[in-house]
Amino acid sequence: MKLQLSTEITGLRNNGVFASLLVTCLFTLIGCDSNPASFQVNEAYIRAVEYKADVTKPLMREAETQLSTAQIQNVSEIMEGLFGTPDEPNLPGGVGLEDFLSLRKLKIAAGPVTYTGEAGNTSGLESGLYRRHCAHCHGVSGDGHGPTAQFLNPYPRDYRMGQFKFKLTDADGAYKKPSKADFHRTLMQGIAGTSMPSFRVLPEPEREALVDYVIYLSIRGQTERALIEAAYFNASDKQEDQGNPQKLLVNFGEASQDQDLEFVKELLVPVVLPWANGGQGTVQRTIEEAPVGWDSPESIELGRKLFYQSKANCYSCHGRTGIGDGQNNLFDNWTLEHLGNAQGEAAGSGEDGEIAGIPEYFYNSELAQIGVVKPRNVKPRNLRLGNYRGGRRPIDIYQRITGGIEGTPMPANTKLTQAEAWSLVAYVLNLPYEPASRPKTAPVFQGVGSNK
Amino acid sequence: MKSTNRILGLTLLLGMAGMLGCQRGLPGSFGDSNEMNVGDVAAAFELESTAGGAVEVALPDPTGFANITGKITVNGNIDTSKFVSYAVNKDANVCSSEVNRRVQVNNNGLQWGLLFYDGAFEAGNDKWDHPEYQAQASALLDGDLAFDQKSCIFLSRIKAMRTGQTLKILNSDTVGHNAKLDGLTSANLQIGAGQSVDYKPGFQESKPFGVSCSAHPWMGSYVIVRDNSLYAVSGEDGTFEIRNVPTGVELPFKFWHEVIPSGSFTMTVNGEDVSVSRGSFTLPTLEAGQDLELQISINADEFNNAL
Repeated sequence: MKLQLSTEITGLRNNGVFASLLVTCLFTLIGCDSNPASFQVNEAYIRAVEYKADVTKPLMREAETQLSTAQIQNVSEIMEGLFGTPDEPNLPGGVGLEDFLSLRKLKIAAGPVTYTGEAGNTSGLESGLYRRHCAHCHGVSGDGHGPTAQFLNPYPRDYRMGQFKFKLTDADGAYKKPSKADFHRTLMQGIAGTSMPSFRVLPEPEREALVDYVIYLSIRGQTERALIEAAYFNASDKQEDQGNPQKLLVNFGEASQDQDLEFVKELLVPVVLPWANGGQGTVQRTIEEAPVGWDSPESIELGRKLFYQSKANCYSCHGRTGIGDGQNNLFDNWTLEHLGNAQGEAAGSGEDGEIAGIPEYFYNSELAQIGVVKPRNVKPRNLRLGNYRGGRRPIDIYQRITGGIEGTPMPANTKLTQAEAWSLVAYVLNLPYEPASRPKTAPVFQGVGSNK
Repeated sequence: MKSTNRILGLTLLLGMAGMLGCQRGLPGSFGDSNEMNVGDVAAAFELESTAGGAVEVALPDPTGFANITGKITVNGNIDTSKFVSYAVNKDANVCSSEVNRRVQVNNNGLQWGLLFYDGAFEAGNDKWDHPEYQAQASALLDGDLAFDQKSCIFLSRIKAMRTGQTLKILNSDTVGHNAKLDGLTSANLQIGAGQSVDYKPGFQESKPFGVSCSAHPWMGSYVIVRDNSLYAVSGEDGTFEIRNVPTGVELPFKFWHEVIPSGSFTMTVNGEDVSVSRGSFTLPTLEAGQDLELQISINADEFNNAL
C-alpha cells in the first residue's frame, strides 16, 4: 500500500513534472508577448536639466519643477515622428540630413538581426548590425547603457551628447565633429586599453552602415536633449498664456501646431549643421607631415622643456613624471552633467581615488534606474606605459595635443608652433623608453633565495 | 528518481530561460505614442520635403527703439557664512584661496545679474536689429570686453556675447590655464601664461553655459551667446542698460544669476510684484523713443536658500 501510494505519488509527480515541462516548452516555443524595440527616453538628462535648473532641490524631482508625464510623452512623440524607431529608423527632411546620411544604410544597421538569404532580408547584407555588434554595450538608444556597460571600465560611449574623443578634426568651430573617416578608424582599430574591439572583420558596407547609424543615434540624441531643454525652459513661457496648462512643446491638433513644428525645426538646425558642413559631412583637418628631425634627441629635449612650461602645461595633469598623477579628481562631460552642483563640491577636493570628491550622498538607486552609471574620475593618461587610446601613430599623438580630447579635461593647444607640437609628440612617444620607465628588476637581498 | 530530478532540473532551467527571455525585452519608451501625433511630425518633416517643419512665422514689424536702464537690488542680507573658500590644491603661490563670493552685493546692488531678451528676433533687419548693434555683430571682444583670469579666478562671473562675435580669452596669470567652454559650440583651449585664445561661437544658447579650467578645477564662470545684442550684465552697483530695444512688440525676458539660474520666484519691478517662472518674465510693450527705468528688487532669501 505504501509502495502503491508511493507509486501513485511518483506517478502524480511524474505527470505533474511532464505537464509543467510541456507548459514550459510551449511557453518557451511560443515566446513572450514582446513589444517592438523602442528608444529609451533620456530620463537621465531630464533629471540633469531639472537639477541644474533648480539648485535648491538637489537630487529631488519636485512636482513643481519636473516635466510632466504629458510633456515627456510629447517629446517622445516628436522624436518618433522625426527619427522613427529602432526597427524603422527615419530621417527628418528639410535640414540637410539626407545629404550625408543614407536611410538605406540606416535600415541595414537598424532592426532585429537578419542574415543574408533569410526571409525578409532584401538588402543582400545582414541587417540588425547595430543590435548584433554594438547594442550590448552602447544600448539600443546609443545611451552607452547596454547590459554589459556597468561591468566595463571605461564605460561605453553615450552617443547622445554628440561628443567623441578620438577624431582628426578641428578642436573648435564649425569643423569639430568627427568625420566618417574617424568612426571608420575606430571601428577598424578598436580603442586600445578599453573594451572597444576592432570590427575589421566586418565587410566594408557593413561598417559604413554602422558609421551612419552611430551618427544618426548621435543626432537623434542631441535633438532629444534640445527638445527636453526646450520643453523645460521655453515651452512654459511660450505657451503659458495660450491656455495650455500642460505646457506642451507641440500642441497637436491645435491652431499653433504648425508654429510649434517650426520651433522644433529651429532646434534641429543647430544640431544638424555641425555634422553636415554643407552636406559633405565633417572632413579631416589638414596636418602637415612631421618635419625632418622631429624625433631627434634635440627635438625630444625641446619637448621635455615644453612639457613643464605653462605654454603646454602637460605636467599639470599628467604629473611631473608623466605617470598621470597630476590631477585625479576630474570628470568627463558624460559624468559632469549628472553631478550638477556636486561638481563644485568635488572640485579641488584634492582627494584621489575611484570617485574622488563626489559627495557620498550623490549616487543612489534612482540614478541607476534612469541610466546614470556610477561616476568615476577621468584619469590623465600614464604616458610611460605606451598605451594610447586614440592611436599610437605620431599623427594621433599630434592631434591629441593640438586638437585635445573632446568631452574630457584634455585641452587643445592651438598656440604651439608646428615644430613645438612635433617636439612634444617626440617627447611623449619617447617617455616609455626612458630608463625611468623600464620595469625594475627585483632587488636581490643577501640570504634570500639561497640556502645560506 | 534520478531521471525525475533531471526532468525537474530541465524544467526549472527551461522555466528560467523562458522567464529571462521575457525580461530581456528591449527598453521601452516612456509610454505608448499617439500614432496620429507621430504621423503629424513625420509628415511635416518628410524626407522629400525641402521645407522641414511647417510654416515660416512672419514677425511683426517693431515701431522703433527704446532704451531700458535700471538697477537690480537685493532686499535683505546675503548669508555670507555659506560662502566657502576656493579649494586651491596646486600653484598656491599664484592661485588665490580667497572666499568665493557667489553673490556679490554692494550697497544692495546685485552684481553679475544677467537680463536678456528671450523672444523672436530677426538679426540684420533694421527694424529689429539696430544699426549700432549690426556694426558690432562680428566684433572682436578685446580689451575691457575680453574674458580674463587672474590669480586662478575668472574675472567675469558671467559674460554675454553675440553669435558671430569673437571673444578673446586672456590668461593674466603666470601659470598655464585652459578654458573649457561647454555649450553648443564647445571648446577646450590651452592658454599659456600671458597668452590668449579666441573663441567664436556659432549658435545661440538658450541659457548660459559653464566655463572651467581643468588644471584648476575650482575655477568656474559662465558665458551666454545670443543672436541679438539685447542683454545686460549688472555692474558692481547693480545698474544695467539695454539700449535699442524694439518697440511695439512683446518683450519676453529672462533673469539669470549663477545661484538661481532659472528660479521661479516673485520679484518687484518698480514696486509691482512680477512673477518669474523658470527665469522668465515679460516686460511691458514699449513705445518708440521711450526711456524705461526699471527698479528690480529680489528677496535675499531667494539666494540664501540656494547657497
